[in-house]
Amino acid sequence: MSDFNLLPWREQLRAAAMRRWRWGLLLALLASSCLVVALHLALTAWHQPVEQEKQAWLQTQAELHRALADQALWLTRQQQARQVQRQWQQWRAQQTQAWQLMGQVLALSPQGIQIERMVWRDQQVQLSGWAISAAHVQAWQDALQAQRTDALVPQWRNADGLACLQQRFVLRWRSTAVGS
Amino acid sequence: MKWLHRIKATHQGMGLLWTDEGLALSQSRHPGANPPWRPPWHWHPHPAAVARSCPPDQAWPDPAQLRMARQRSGFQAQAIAMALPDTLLQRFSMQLEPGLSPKQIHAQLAEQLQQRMPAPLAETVWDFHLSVDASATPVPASSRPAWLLAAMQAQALQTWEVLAAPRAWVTAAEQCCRAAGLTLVRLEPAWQAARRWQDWERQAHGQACATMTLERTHEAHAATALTPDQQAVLSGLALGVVSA
Repeated sequence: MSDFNLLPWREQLRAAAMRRWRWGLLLALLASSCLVVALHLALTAWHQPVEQEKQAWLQTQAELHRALADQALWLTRQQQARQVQRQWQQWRAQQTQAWQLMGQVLALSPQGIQIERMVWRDQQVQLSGWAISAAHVQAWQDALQAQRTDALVPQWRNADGLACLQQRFVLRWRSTAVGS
Repeated sequence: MKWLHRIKATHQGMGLLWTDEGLALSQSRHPGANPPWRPPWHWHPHPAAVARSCPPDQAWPDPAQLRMARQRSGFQAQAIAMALPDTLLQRFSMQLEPGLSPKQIHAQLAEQLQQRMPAPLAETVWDFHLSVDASATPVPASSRPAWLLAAMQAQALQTWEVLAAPRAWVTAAEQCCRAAGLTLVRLEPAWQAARRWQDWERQAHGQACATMTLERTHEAHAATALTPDQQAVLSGLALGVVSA
């Protein structure tokens, strides 16, 4: 049986199909957008702990870098402290050695001897002064195991208002005190 | 509850037929209607002045009269179907090669129709339908092999029936229905509506019921001044507006 309809139903069908297609396209775009947004949110939510962990690691790394920088300063200071300590010990040893040397010199009898100068440098001790006789110098030389470096030439000198004939002497020896 | 009424009305329609004496409305078939179904109808006679000024072939009924008839009928409808007067219809038969796409069919039919129509095609509304009449295709000889018959059927020309009507008349019909608060969804020849009703009766009720319906139709004719053919057209319109 025929089915004529003189109204523009074909055009209406085409328009309806086009309208459906447009709505479908719009809905598809909307659904795609929603899907993309949902995926983005899901991935962000999933990635957030990882990102936080990464930030924590970065923070730890920065702290370690700072600690390493402080560590370098600390090492330098520690090295300086060790150096100071080493120098302090060396200085204490030198001080002890000096006191021992002084004790060694002061333990001898000062009779007939006038000491003018005593120099201790590079483990070498030099003692200079005046003596009233060669025997007094020899006694000191023997006691200190020193060497005489100059000739004993008697000279007249004023000693406490009195004219005395005295000999100038210089004794040198190598210090063997403890800690040297 | 107004929206419920509107939803209900969008799924129902009316058939409209007007004569010199008045308007006839028929309510469309409800989806849950039982098989022995007849469309309820309403007859609204014209006032004498309107009847004189509105011959059915040239002018349209007053939208106020249509609205009043609808209100008096109590029919719930938003869609309406109407039959075109035969005097306005032009019928053509055209042959096309098979295997064309819908766009090609439309274009070729429009080209042929333009050659046959005196008026421009822009001032014409037209519709086409593939004819399934057995006389349109050549009858193959039974002695030929099946493959040859199939090939001949495939290469046979298709016959298309084309109906054309003045666009101004259709536009006026749409405006009239719109003014009455209705949407014109089907505009078809009267013979098509009548044939739809006859097919419906034949399929739904059988031959025995058709005789009974004919008797009822005579009774209705006596009451409403509609001929049996007009009642068939009105019932066919009520059937067609639902499927439109």
